[in-house]
Amino acid sequence: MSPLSLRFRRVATILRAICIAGIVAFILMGAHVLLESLLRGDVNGAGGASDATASTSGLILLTVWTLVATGANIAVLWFTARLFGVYATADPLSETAARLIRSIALALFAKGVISILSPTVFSLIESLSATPGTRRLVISFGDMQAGFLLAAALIWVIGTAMSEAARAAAENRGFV
Amino acid sequence: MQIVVRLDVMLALRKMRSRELADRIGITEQNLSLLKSGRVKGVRFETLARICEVLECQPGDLLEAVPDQS
Repeated sequence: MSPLSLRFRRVATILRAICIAGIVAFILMGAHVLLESLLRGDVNGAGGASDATASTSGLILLTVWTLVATGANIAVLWFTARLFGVYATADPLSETAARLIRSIALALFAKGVISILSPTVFSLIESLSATPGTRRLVISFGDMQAGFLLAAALIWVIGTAMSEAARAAAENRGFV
Repeated sequence: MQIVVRLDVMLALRKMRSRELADRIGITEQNLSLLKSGRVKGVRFETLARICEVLECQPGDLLEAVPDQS
C-alpha cells in the first residue's frame, strides 16, 4: 500500500467519525427542537416569526416536517459516513462507492426540496392558528436552495462517472 | 475457437518454477497461476513480452487457438 493511500484511508476514517458525530448532533438537535416546540405548544422555534400558538394539526405538521427535515440531513451524513467507511476499508473505485455517491446525491436533492418547501410549510403552520384575513403563505427560492440542487446534480454525475470507472477497473483486473 | 495458454508446457521445457517466473516478470504467483489455468480475461502485451523474454520463446509458443469443445 502506498503512503498516499494510507494517508487517504486515515483521512477517510477521520471524516467518517466527523459524519457520525454530525448524525448524533442532528438527532439531538432535532429531538431538542421537537420537544421544546411540543412542550411550549408554539411554532416560533421552528422558524416562524409570529406569536401565534399552533393548533394540534399545526403541531402534528411541525413534528412531521421536523422529522422529515432532520431525516434528510441524517441521510446525507449517513451515506457520506458509509462512503468514507468504504474509502477507509475497501477499494475506493468500486460499484459500492459509486452507488453511495448517487445516494448522497439523492439525499442532497431531498434536502434541497425540503429547504425550498420549509418556509411554505412553516408559514402554513403559523397561519393555521391565525384569524382569517391575516393568513399568509411564503414561497421562497434562494442561493442556498439552488446550491443544494446543483450540488445534488453534480454529485449524481460524479456517481455515474464513478460507476463507469468502477466497471472499467473491474474489467482491467481481469487482465494480467 | 478458444485460446489455450501453454505456459505450463514452456515452464516444464525450461525447467523453471512458477514462482521464479512470477518474480522475474513482476506479477504475483497467484496471477501467474490464473494465467496458466486460463482463468483471465486477457494478457497484456507487456506481460506477454516479459514472459517471452524470460522463457526465450515466441507468443505462439505460449498461446494456442483450439476449436471449442462444445
